[in-house]
Amino acid sequence: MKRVFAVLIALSVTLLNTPAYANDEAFSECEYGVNDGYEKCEPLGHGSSKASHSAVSASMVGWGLGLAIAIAIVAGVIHQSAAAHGGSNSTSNSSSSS
Amino acid sequence: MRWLVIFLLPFTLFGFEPFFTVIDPPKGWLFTDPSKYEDGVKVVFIASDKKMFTPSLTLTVEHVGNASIAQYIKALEKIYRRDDFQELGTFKTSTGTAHLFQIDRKNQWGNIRILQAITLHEGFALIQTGACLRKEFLEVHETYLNAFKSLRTTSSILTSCSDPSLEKRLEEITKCWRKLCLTSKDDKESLFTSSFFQNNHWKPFVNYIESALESEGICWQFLAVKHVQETLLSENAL
Repeated sequence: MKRVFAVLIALSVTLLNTPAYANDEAFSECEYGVNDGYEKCEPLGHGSSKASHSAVSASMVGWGLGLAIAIAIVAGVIHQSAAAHGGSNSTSNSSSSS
Repeated sequence: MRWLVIFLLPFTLFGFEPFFTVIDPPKGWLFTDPSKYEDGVKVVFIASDKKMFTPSLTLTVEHVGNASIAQYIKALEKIYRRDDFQELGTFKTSTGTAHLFQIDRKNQWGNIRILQAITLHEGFALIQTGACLRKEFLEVHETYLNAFKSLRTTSSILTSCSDPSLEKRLEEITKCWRKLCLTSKDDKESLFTSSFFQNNHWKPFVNYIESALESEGICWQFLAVKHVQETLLSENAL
């Protein structure tokens, strides 16, 4: 059970970090050229793209808190489940020994 | 105070504009954690921290050199070619003409609408961005437009503040910073984060901005502290 939850959490983290939009086409020399002299050589419009990304990320802050709460609940359930199994094992052990 | 303390910790040095930019955020909106800002992002606000997807507002600055707005729009069309990208028109701000764009995008949260106002000023693009769920857009679009229209720039923070004591404080911290840079072989970032500079100069300066200039508003205070920090780190002078 614990392993299944661990795999699910790992998968969700991996998948949700994947950008929902593709931006894979290289910028032309012209677009880099406009920013000529700028030490970071970022293509024109990079700031707009970054701003959109930051705004959407910021909007999801509640989702991040929700995920943290969900993980805490799942961790609590696993902990209780493990404790219950441990308890029942010890009970059966004690009954078998008697 | 917490946001300023967090802000003092990690930072990076990047291309930095020689003017001071400020906006009036919507009333009641919250600051987000500044330590998570990407380079060029000045400030980020959210409407609520209780909703799964809440409206947000960012102010970002990009160095564009001699690029014209036509070139910039062409670049945007390419960047957002996979989204539903539209130019909505222009409006006036005290800094200049702002161009308004709408970007609709679908992701795992549903349909998201991004409203972006871009103003070119002295070789920089001042980018104000609002993001919300498309179904909530009608509720917040007026709020976004009012915030976008509040954009203003001044040549320095001195000209954006009426308090005469600020000039003296800026002179003092600049003088100390220059002296420190001249007498130490450490790099600027190490000098800035050194306990000597932090405890004797920077933290008192931040406290002064927080307490004495409260009337300027929290967004102005935040951006002023950030501007002074970036100025000190970039060129030793204000």
